[in-house]
Amino acid sequence: MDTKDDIELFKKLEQQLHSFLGEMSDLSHKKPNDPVNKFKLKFLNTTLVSINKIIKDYRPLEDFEQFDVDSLPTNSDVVLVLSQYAGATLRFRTDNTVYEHGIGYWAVRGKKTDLRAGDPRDHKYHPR
Amino acid sequence: MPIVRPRLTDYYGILISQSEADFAIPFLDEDIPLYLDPFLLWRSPSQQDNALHTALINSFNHLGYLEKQGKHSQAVDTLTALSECDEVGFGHSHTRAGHRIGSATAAEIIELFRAIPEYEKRGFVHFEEIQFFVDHISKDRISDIACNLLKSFLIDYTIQQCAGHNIPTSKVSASVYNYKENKPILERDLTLPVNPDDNKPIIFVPKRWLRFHPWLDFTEYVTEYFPKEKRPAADQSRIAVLTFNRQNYGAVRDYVASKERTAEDCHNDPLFSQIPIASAKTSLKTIQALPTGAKEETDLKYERELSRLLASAFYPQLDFAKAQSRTESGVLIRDLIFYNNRSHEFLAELFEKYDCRQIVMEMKNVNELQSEHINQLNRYMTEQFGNFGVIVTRKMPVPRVFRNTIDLWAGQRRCILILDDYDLEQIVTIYESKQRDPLDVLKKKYVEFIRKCPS
Repeated sequence: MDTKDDIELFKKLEQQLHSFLGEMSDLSHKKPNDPVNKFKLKFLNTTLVSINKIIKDYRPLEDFEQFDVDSLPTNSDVVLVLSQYAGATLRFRTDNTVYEHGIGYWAVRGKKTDLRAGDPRDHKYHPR
Repeated sequence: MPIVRPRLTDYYGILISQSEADFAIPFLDEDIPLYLDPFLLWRSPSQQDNALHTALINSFNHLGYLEKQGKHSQAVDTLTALSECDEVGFGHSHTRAGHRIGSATAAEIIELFRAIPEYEKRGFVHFEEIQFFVDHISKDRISDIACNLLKSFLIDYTIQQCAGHNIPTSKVSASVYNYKENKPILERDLTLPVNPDDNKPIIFVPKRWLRFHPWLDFTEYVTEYFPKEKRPAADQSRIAVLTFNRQNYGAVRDYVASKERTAEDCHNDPLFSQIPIASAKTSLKTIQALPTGAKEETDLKYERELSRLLASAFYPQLDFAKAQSRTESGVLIRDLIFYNNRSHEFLAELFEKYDCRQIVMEMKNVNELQSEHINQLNRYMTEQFGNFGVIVTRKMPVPRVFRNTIDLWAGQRRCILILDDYDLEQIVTIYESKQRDPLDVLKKKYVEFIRKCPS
């Protein structure tokens, strides 16, 4: 985490990622091979690009930055990638949390801040 | 090589698909297989259409007035002149040229104003009823008479549409029915589009007036309404029905009344209807189950199913032009031709980069695509197809064969895409889900192809 502003942004993006993953998982259960429409892909990509900027080296897939609209990603493709990102954001959160007297605080550039981060395990994505 | 099944807009490079146009886009060398149905003007919610129908009927009934005035020959001449309208080009002719009715048939129609008391007394409300009494009168004749009587409006409509879509026009002459003088008069200096082949004027007709079969239809009347016990078993001819109708006007009146009651169900027919999703899935299953090769006409079945599937899947971005065949080195090759009206960014790119005015899709029900198949298409890609073509086959070729398409792009900037059964499956999935356009599958193949090409 580079700045304190990144913390709030990360929390918002993490929440969005979990929501998208939940929605796309539902769609994928019903129609795994249906392509995702451009409207959804646009918002998914916006979120993923923003997450990439924050988590940097924690990016889960080396060759992947965002979905290619022209390659017609399917619901199951999207779930696969978002699941990887859910794991990566959890690792990022865990590695950026420092503990003092058993309480987790966010770390910026490795240094503890006064912003509480909570227990990373409480922020793990849970399928619906 | 000229455009396959050329339309007026394609000839002039006008970017409009049939689904976007308010009028039926005319073909240059054949008729549009639709007809103007006057009933659609009668049942239309538009006051303008209703008023035009009234004007149309008044003009037709004026022929009865002439008959009553003893001007029989004038009535016959006028009706004969009104009986063919080449400018609109409706029907099934491959020449865009028809023939007028003879004076005997015209006289028979005019005679109805005397023979049937209702018509003598109040005239026609639906002039298409003449088909129930006179032989040799069918939907194309009804349509042509209506078009001629409405021609003044249709000319204005055509001029307006041409201005809106920048369709080139020329100064031409045409015979136009004059409401003041109640006869066709040759009008000069009309600004209408012309057929570049023969410089004859072309008139547009709104799509909302067109049907494949008129709402008041002789065939339907005979099969579903005509009292069968009245039809002599010894004479099943059309003439027997017409004779019965003349003597029993009530049968026709009841049929027309029943059709008027259900007028809400009368809608115009689109020039192209997509097949239902269930049919698309059935076509895909049929294709996937077909063995490769030409045994037991499997190649014909493959091409038939593929035609209906792709023509529907790529609509409305691509208007289907024609399924055609050619022989090369003794081998029969069939392909599908689509108009490229650049209604999608991808299609615009094909036009700009590959000069592709029409997209050719060659169908190959073969076990393994060979280099020769690619070369066949490459040789065929000239003029209107530009440097872009598609081969639809059962499975992707081996890398050695696929390499040919890359080499063609590298050497001549020619792009040949190959679609297989898996791509068809994806097309049908998208056709069903409607989350994306099936055309996106073609674009995906294009993007994948370009990524494999040397930069």
